[in-house]
Amino acid sequence: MQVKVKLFATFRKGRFKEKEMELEDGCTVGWVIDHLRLPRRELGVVFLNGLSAADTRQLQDGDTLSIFPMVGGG
Amino acid sequence: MDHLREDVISERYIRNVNAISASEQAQLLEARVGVCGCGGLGLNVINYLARMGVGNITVWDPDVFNESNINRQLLANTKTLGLNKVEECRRFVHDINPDIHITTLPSRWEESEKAIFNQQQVIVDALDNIPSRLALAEACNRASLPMVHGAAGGWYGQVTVIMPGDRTLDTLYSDLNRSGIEKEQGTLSFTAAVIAGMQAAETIKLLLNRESDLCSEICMVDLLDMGMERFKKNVTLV
Repeated sequence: MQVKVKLFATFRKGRFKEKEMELEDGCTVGWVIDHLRLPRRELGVVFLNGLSAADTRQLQDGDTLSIFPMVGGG
Repeated sequence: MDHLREDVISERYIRNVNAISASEQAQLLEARVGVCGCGGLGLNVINYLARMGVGNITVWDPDVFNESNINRQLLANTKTLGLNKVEECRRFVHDINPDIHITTLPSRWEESEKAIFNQQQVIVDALDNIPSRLALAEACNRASLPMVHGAAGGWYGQVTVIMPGDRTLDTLYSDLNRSGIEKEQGTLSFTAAVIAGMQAAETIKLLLNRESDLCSEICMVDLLDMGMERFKKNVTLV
């Protein structure tokens, strides 16, 4: 299946802004995060097709996954 | 305050018209906003609210200015190092309009009298750490107060409006063992100003009962790639 993955802010550094990824059926949000070696200690909110999604959520063909680092400064 | 009322038709607020009406300007002069945090975000928010003519502003912050504040905090400079942030803020607001009633509390908002907190119409989350932000959202929920959340780190930031019952901050900060990118990226002056400007706009909309999409959405801002993306909240796919 094909999933569009969008990375934001510091997660883009050394990776990409947006990429169509070919994934095996049954892949989860968490699998993509780990596959891209996104640092868990900085992980913020994750949106799947515009709605926040849990780590265990299974992806479907045509999904768009947007992954943000946590931001808390002022 | 009478002088503020006269100012509705005076020169001071003439450039607010017609973006807001004269009656809305009068509403702002009676409005009460609490700003938690008087740093990169809070000082800019207060600057904008004071210039809009918000008549009653309360600000909490226990800190004094230090050198590492100078890169982004509006009133941090070589002359204010070591001085109390909220007292400098009082002087600043007084110079903008001496009739604005500003209450300065050199303490953490958590240590404040509940009555002072509860009498606000809107609370602005201009804090700099995640546990305190979550506690503030909880306190606003208990007091049935809307909260305007803003956070910044490096070139990036986020803004949303948290109405009572909205648990969005629990989604944004789901794991307290994680840290924000500001720990590694710091916070840039213009990022703080942009996010604070958006928070001020949302605060004014709440005070004037204007509609805001950020009651149901989170806005993510990227000043490096000049991107702004909005996402629906309150629905988590499991």
